[in-house]
Amino acid sequence: MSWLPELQHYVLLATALFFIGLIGVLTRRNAIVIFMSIELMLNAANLCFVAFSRYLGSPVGHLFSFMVMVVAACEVAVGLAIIVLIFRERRSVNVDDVNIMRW
Amino acid sequence: MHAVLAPSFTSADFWAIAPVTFLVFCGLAVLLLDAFFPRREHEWLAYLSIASLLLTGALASWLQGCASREALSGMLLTDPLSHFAVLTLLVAAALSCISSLGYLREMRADRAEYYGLLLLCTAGAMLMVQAGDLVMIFLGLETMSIALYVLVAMRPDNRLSTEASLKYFLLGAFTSALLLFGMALVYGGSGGQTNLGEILATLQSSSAGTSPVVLIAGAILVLLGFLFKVAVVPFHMWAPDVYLGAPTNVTAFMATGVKAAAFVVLLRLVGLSSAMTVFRGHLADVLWVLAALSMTVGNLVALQQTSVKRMLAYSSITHAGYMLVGVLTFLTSSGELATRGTGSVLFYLVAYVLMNLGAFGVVALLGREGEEGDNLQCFKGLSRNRPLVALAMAVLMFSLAGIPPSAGFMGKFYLFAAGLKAGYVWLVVLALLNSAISVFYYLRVVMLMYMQQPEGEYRKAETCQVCASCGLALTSLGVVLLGILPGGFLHYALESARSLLP
Repeated sequence: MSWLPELQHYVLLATALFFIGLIGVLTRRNAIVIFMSIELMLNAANLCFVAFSRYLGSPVGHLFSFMVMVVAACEVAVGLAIIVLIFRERRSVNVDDVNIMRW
Repeated sequence: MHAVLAPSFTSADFWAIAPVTFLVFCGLAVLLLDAFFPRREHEWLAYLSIASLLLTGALASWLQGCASREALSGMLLTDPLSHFAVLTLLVAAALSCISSLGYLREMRADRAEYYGLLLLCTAGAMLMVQAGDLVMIFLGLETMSIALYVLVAMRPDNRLSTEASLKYFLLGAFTSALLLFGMALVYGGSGGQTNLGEILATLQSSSAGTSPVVLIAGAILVLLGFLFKVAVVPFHMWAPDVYLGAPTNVTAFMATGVKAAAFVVLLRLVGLSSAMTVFRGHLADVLWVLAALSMTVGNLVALQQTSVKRMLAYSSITHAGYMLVGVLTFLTSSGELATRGTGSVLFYLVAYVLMNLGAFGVVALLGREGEEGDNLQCFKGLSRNRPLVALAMAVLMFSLAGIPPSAGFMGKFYLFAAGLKAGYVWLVVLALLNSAISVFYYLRVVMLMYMQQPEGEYRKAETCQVCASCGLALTSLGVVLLGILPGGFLHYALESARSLLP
């Protein structure tokens, strides 16, 4: 008997990924790692969209996940540029060092 | 149902997106013009940008007459509310363009990219306020935000500016991720709908294939994302730092245009949430607490600031708290009272946009040779050196404090009257107390300008400030005019608000 994953498994996996990303954002101090955690959260949302789309028979979710990929790529381009700018100035990408203004 | 699979593009669709398309083309044209005709000064691009913003507004108003309520298979809403928000956004963008005319050169940050990105950012915000679909809300929001991340870093040699940019970027991307996961859950919970109208229909019929738990979890995440964007306590940590670090003209647009856009979308989403009867009561309780916290915390921290920019940032958190009173009224009441709640939020948004654009415009006018003029010291004795600028600032401060006859007073009056009618007596009492406290820090600026001697010699600006002063005159006149003759405009706001009700 082969076992096939159901919708709830996908949603559980996506939720787990989302929370791993969330914890990463809240606990890590390196700007690049925080950014990677945010990408993980975006991909969790993508997985959710695709799974719902497949099981509900509605194609909009596929479309949405394509849009998300495009947006994530744009965000990477701008975000890494900003992080490089910070690194050039302070030789560090630790968010605790980025604190002339108090949070 | 699956309109995406059978795309049909009619001429009505074309005209519905024509204003946004025009603005995007103008933004790209500004970037290209600078590449092909490089000059040391970029003021001509500023005039071009202002002209294109005004033309977009004219185009939108001209097309509004013949538009249906939605276009592009429900992706874009072209109702009066969209039109109202679009015009507010364009005014905000045009006025921050005007205030940047001398400021950017004074800050050694005169780049053509500023104008191109500002136009693209406005186009994104326009898409967001017109969105009738979760996909469109997300795309508009991101178009706006990504342009803003760059705009905040417009002074790459300035440590504050880059720091603000990093903070805004990380918080913004995090917020979008929350929002997006929420949207995924709403999509699943509503049985595969992303269109706002169809989600509403699903909520009201509660048909099979929907899951209320998933839907509510998604709605919470989406609302959380927008509460971050409008900077309500306790989701406000980013706002003061980002507003302080960003170049003043960018701050002016962020604090006004972007906030207005986020509020309009928040109103649309709250309208959807009010259809979930289980969820509505809890949401109202949470919003009550958030409104009370925002007013109080924003005010108390604003009292201690020595930087006017940071003070205005905290005051914008307070104003978001006031506006939540109107949102609450809209959420929990129905019929005419709900319209009054929304209408008062819209009226207050416009008053708020004008007041803050003016106040940040004054701060921009005082910037000299790469240094911001946002310290309270810069305002000492300003009435001797620049009597007209001081007068405009005084009018704006009176309006922000809510002293009649000003737009700020009328806005607060309508907001709190609607709140009282909906039964939020204690919240309104708290808001009134907070307004009284806020008078202290707004009038401190006026006191410094009029009752103290200037410190040191007044440094004249290197650049011509005629245009920026005209912008300032426009905003302060607008503030006074809205305070004396609010009737016609209130009617317009109420008419726009009516399109939110089914």
